[in-house]
Amino acid sequence: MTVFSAFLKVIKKNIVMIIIYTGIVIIFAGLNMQTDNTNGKFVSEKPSVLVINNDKGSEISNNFEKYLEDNCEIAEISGDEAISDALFYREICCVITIPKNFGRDTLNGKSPAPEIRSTGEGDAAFTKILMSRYIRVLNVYADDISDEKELIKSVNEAVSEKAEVEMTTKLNISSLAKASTYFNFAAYSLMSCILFIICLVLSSFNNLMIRKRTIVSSKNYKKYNFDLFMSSLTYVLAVCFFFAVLGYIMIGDTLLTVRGAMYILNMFIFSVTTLALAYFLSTFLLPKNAITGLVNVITLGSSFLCGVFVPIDFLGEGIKAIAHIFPTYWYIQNSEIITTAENLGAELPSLVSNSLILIGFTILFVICGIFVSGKKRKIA
Amino acid sequence: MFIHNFKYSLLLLLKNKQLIFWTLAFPLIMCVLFNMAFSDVTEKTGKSDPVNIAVINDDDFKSNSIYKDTLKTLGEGDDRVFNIKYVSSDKAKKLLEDDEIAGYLSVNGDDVKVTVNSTGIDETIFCYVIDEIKSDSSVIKDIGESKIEHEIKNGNMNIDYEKIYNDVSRKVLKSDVSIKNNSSDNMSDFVIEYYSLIAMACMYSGILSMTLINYKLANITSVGKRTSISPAKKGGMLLGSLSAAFLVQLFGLLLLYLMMIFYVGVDFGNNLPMIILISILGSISGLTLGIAVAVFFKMGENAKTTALIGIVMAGCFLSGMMGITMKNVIDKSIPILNRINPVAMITDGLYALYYYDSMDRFIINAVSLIIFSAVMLIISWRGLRRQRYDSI
Amino acid sequence: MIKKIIEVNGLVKEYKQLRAVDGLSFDVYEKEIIGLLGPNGSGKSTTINSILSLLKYSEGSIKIFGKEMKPDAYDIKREIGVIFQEVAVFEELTVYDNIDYFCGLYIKDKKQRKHYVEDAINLVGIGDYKKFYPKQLSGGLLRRLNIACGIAHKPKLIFFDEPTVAVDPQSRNNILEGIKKLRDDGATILYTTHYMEEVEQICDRIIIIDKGKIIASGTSDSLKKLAKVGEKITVEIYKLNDSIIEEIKGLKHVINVTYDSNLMVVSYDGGKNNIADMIDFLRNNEISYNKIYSERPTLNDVFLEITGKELRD
Repeated sequence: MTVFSAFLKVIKKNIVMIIIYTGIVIIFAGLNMQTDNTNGKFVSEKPSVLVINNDKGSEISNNFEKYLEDNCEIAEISGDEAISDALFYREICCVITIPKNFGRDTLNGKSPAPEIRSTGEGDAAFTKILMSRYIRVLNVYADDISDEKELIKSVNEAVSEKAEVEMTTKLNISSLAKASTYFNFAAYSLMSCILFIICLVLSSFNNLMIRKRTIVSSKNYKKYNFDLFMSSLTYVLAVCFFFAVLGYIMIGDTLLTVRGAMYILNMFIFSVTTLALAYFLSTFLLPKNAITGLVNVITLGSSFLCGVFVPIDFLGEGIKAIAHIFPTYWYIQNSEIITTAENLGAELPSLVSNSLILIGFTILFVICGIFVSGKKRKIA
Repeated sequence: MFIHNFKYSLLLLLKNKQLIFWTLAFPLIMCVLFNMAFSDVTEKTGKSDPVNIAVINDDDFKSNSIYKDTLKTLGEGDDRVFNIKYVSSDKAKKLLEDDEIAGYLSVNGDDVKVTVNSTGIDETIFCYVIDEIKSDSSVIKDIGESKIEHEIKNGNMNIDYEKIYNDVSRKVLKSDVSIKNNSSDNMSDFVIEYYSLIAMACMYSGILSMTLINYKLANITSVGKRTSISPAKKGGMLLGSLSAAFLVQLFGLLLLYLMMIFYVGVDFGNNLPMIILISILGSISGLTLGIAVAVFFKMGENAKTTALIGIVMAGCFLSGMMGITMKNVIDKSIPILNRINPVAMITDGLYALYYYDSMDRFIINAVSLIIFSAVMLIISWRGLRRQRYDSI
Repeated sequence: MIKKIIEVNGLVKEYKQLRAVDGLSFDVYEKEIIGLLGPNGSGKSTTINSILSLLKYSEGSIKIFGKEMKPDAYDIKREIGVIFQEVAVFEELTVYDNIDYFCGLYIKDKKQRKHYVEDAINLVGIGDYKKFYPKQLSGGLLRRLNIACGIAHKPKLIFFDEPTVAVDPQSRNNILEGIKKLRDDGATILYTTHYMEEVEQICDRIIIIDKGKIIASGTSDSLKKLAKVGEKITVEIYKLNDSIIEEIKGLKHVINVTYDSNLMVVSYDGGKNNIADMIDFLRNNEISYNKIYSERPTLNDVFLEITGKELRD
């Protein structure tokens, strides 16, 4: 019990840290879920654009605007700076300006060019396809048809031609996307909460133990270690439980399905691996300054390289290869499978093998920890 | 007193290898990591890879020249849009199930069907391109028909149907569409990651100032007691210590900038003096934040350090380090949060220099940083000046 | 008339539940070593911290060099040196740099400072360790460094707050000799400890405090007179009858007799030749004994007598 109460004291001292990291995940999850899917994994059906129509009087221009409204998500942003920001941060993919006299020039066969300010990537390319499709049809018909109304009618008929699209997936993509966003990001907060606290606690206990080892009998020593282990595990379980409850509050009933349970199980396995990593790191008996630095590098580094912050599809092959050496990678892999697998049963083998790799990491960390602490003991 | 304290504070910081290593090296390590993580993103966003699709190669498709020809063009060359497999219907289904293709196309006269697994970048490109072909083919048909009608009306009995269709389809498919591109060259949003890293490095100077201030506070360290009972005036001492922290910090920032500019190749725009200015203001904000934490957080040195790092990391998070979107979301929905967050001020200042032509936004950020530093100093003033304690 | 260096009048310091210093009044005169003796937690450090203006105190007044002591009384602070209970040095600086840093807070002139630092190093005898870092020093040497940091600027008034806690005998003697030398060089010294031997060894005057109050003060001898016990004779005897003990109790001047683990301790309230009388008594009763020796009362006995408890708890 003494070990546990000492443990609680250290946690209490570092409560600011824990609150901050929990706050981060709440803000992240909360905001990301309001603004639908911003991480680019699931592209929204329609690209978000802003249309500035400088030729309001013309039917042709208005019809073009209406076409864009039908095929794009139209953003309502006013103010030059706000528009520029929205574009830079990919809230909209482009700003389309219909120039003055666009309608008149079209009828005169001048093929006027609308203006576009784009991010130059992803959605902007789609929007360009959408625009060029309309403009091409418009210009071709404008050669033959000189009546404005007839021209619009023909153009509308042509651009309303659409291929039938069949979607095979039966998943509730939006709610699973929320869950995946939450659990992917939780990897960072979870790792920070566990690594910082456990490393600080264990390193101070380790220092204490070296001194005590000479006085305490071997049996006591084992009991001591066991107490320490149980306390750490209790803490990790508490953190896991907390993040699961938080997840339920954020995501809702999706978490009560089989997939939800798998997310939580995956998180738990990952937490235990992180605990083992904390144990391993603490055996180096680093000074506290070094611990905070090292833990920061490990949590941030692995999160960046394994697709916690940036979707893993965006990362290059080389980085993905390096990412394999981090437990986070396998956690994210599992999370991705749970999110996207059409048939979970079929994917079970890969889920299990990823989990086994995580467990393998756990064992490896513990063995390395024992090895290092054994060496240190000899020196001491 | 200033020089004496400056000299020894510098010595103290330089001798504290752990502290120096982690405050200076941490941003550098993060920079390398960022470079690893983002170097591919940069290349990828510029040009997208061809999308793998399949086409059901039945008689209907073979006889539809518009689709056949257009897809052939789209599947050729280095900047091709698609990698196309021409297969049977069963094979296409199998490929889709195995996730080897984004989707497949089947054409039955006017009935054009696209089958995909879910929504995604590749799937969207696929659908859009097929829609475009469908529009074009409808236009060709429409104009072709009216041309033929016209010929018949004119009494021309020798109508070369094929020639008319070919002419029309050439006209439609080859017609150039001009869209004026006004896009800015400075559109890489991940520079925000690097800017927030610079901001983080600035704020990390708080750890340096906090360490030194702790040595001056009688209720935190025993050395602080010794300092308090000496006749040395606090103002000069503090200024000396802070200058030392500032110098070390500037050196660290210099390393980080050199690395970002020459190794990573981050684009900072062209306004070097302003970049230096915002870095200096940012570092001062970091130093003053460190002072405030040292004075206000009534806890041990370690807990203070974790608290400070926690605050800085939270600031980084809000200004987009762990996902660029976050900064915009906060700027839009809770702007006050980033108006009091020095990390966001530095990040936004650098962003303004990179992206905006006018200096207004930069100046707002620079002034905000000055106000932030002043507020930190004012609220810590009493604690710093304080010499008598209720308990020590 | 001898100059008063410190004047403490009715000092009270209250914490939430505790009255740590309870109406303390005393004066310290020029060039004396005054000992503040008391058990742990009796309010010694609180008193010193209050005098130094590090602590806010609830009531009372404190004058140093005849002027009121305030946090910004820089001219007073300039003449004060303090050796704190805990070692207050920078881990990151060498022995020399540590002393130079703290001395530099008082002495601006570099040449003069260099001189002063060397003097301090020689005084505490750590000349061989100038380039060492505090981590590399033994406990005793660390304490000596701690002292050097406090006295390098040659203060006129020096506070020593338990400077010998956990120090080996050699360093301890070195420290005590150093303190005497500082006094001989003209400094006034206030010395707190819970080791009565040290106080007896070096202090001109002693103030004994307990629970924040002065319970006795004076020179070592005058204090000892407060104790009823004038002399204690200890005899090692292997066999002793109760009747003999009763008989000894009846002897002249004897106020108490204890016999425990072969040691008989006889307390006297006065008288001369007590030890000769005892030897005669033992010989007459044919009691064989191993050792016999006499002790004068200690300050512990004084403390014990006034408070009913031991100094070192």
